Amino acid sequence: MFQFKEGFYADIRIEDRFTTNISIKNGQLEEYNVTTLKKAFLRVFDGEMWYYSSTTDTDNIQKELDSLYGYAKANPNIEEHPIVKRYEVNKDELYQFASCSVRDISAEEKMAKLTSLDALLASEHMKMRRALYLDRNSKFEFYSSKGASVRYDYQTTGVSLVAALAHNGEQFADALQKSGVRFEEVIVSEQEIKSFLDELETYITTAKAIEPGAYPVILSPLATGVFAHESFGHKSEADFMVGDETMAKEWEIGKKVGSELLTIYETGTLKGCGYVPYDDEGTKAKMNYLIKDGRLAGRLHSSSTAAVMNEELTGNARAINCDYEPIVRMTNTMIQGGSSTFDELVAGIKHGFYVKTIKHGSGMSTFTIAPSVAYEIVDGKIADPVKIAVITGNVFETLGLIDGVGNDETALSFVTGGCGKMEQSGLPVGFGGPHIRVSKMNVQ
Amino acid sequence: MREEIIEKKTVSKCFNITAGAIDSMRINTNVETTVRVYENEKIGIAGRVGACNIDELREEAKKNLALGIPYPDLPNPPVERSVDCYKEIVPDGELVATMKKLMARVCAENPEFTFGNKIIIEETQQKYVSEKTNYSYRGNSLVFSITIKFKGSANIMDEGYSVEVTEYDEDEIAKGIKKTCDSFLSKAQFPEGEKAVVAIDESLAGMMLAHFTADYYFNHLSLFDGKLGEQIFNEKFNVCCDRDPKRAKNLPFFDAEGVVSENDCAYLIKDGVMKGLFATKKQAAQYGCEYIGVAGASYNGVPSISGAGFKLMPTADDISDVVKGEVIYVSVSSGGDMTADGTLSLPVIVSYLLKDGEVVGKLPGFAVTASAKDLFGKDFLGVAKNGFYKHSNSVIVAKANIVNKE
Repeated sequence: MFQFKEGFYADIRIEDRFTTNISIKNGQLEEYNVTTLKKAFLRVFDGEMWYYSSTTDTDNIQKELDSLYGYAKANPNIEEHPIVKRYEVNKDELYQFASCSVRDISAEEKMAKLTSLDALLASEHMKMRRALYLDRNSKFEFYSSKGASVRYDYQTTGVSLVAALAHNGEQFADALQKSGVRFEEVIVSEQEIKSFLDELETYITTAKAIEPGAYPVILSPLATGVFAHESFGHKSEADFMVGDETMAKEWEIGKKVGSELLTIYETGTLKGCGYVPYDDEGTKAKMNYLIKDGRLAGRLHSSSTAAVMNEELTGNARAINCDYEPIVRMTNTMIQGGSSTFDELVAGIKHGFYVKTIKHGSGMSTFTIAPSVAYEIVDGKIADPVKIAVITGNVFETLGLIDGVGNDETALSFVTGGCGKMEQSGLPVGFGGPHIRVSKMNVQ
Repeated sequence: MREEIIEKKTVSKCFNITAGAIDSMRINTNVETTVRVYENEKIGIAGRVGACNIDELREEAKKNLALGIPYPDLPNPPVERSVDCYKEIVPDGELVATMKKLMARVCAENPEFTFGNKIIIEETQQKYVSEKTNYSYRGNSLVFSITIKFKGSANIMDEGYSVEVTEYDEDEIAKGIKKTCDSFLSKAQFPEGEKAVVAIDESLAGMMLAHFTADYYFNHLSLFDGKLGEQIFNEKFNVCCDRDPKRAKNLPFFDAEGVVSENDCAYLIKDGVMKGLFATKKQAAQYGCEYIGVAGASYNGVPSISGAGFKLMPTADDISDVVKGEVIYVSVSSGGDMTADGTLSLPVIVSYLLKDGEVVGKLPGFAVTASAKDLFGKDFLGVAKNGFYKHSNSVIVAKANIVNKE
């Protein structure tokens, strides 16, 4: 299909992306956007430097590739380069969504779904509402000079119902989001919307301030997922270890890094927004344990980082689109479920907090989660709603302070947001886990 | 039927840094064309990435009027203006060698650290044409976004160096990075008391941006409900979206709707007074407020608000010009936020104690808490143009509570 030159490694990634974005604000159509964009990203490696370019002129990829070769110097031993040697040579065609593509769902059906949900968004203190419908169907192709030839598709679809409330000079907003991989899976019942709004009404009218300090905290599956992603997922991305031998030794596989109750895994095989059956270097998705029973079990790699650290590929080289090169990223990051019920976790706390929904999270040596809806826990029972700006903690200390893991592991997928790393923001990632209990976190 | 045509071309070269060495070069050329048409208070939009036929795009935009997206037709003044700020920063043929030389020097001068992330040189050309309004802009900049990691640290990064420049000065960049690395290795103790003077990147004020949107304000969701035109902050506090080509780098002087702000600078807060709101033309018409030139848009999307050019107007050059004595400079923080009542909390990971502008040493971790109204009101001291090194973002200098000291 493409003519690759001797003396270089090269690969070509092509994405044909279809997206729909419909937004209704306060009952009025705000955005109706259908986009189809086909783009290619090309890489050439000569053993010393990588050279990249992207193009929308997908009929002339060969010309673009030939031009890119001009920057590189031929290397007769390129096939023996440790990075190149690691690349998998997969040949596959994995179209999962051809029979249920959102490309084939009519605009009327999408609009009807959204308007029917928007009509249910009403409550006493709600000042603004927004109903969003978002979908994406991508057809990927990947070809390499080693002979890889992979074609697969990806799909997400969902709605996000945002309600913003105000009362006594304070404001509060939260969203109810439902997503899936098939249009018909995205169902939000009238009762779910009512419960969502009732909780926000209770929150805006009764939530009280807290006394900042260190408390035991229970995280919901959503908060657990963000915690796993931010606290440890990013630290597991091996590109942060390259060039630092001390750190590589410090992060020796088998080292105890958390509570024995803690197991974190990462995989692109879960259907949802973090579904990556082949990464952007053509590596097939795998099941990767990052922490198993509290001990370091693995990390996430591209071929470059795997070669430097002499480890196996994990299928985590990803780019947000065909404007960027793949770098080490997460796919679906999960804390594995345990044995406790939610009530058992709560019963073990004299005075603490339950974080139910969140606004955002971030993490370095300290991780931070900004809760949205949160509750006080008093004498082993969920009590009043509370206003918390952030919960924070040192990553390693906190991983060791997990003293309860729920039996309700839940994988979550999203149609808004995404992960940001360096210049590439908004990468769809899935995450989740069970309810977990941490014996001490800073609550502010 | 009024028509707007927007053309945007960006050309960039991006160098990746791994373990202090340049290991890749990415070349991107991106051309986007947008046609918007307005008829009967509706908008029709069509856009393309890459080569396109403008007549086809025009017909598609007209067809999209049928989607029924309400939008007012508010033409811009009949003004023609062209700004060309482009000047060669580093000759194209010398880019790779120049950046490799810089990184080799940075690594040699700071052997206890390793460096990563990107250096990006980008040129932007943008045009907005509608009836007798005709704007064009060309500019470029060089961005250094370098992560700094202390060798052996378990962190993914410990510090950062981030500047956007229009002139390349190797010595200045190397000096800024070395100052950051040297400061990271030093140690200091917290000043006494629970309240201290802190210097924090101007982006902190971004936490409040939602409260300055017309949507929030006119739906009574803003912390500053009913305060438009009133003094809400310290009289030295000025917040704007600055598109003045003399100051703004690689940013057109017009927004996505072809609106040019008064003196190219849209003020949200001027002398502490709540002056303007983030509003597109549609929101301005809906709520009866002014549109001040703060719209953004994707190439085929309905205009929405944008924080491009967001900045705090400096009150002094350096932190020591704002206040003498001890100041805690917050260098790296981790995702702060505000509660419903406007209480702000910011976990601080890396900070330095300064005395009269000189670094005393690195402080342990802590968190800053403050009421947003007080931080920019009675406790606000000023904004220093220069943060920790030349060309860095401006910093807010104010008194705040210091909690959770490690």
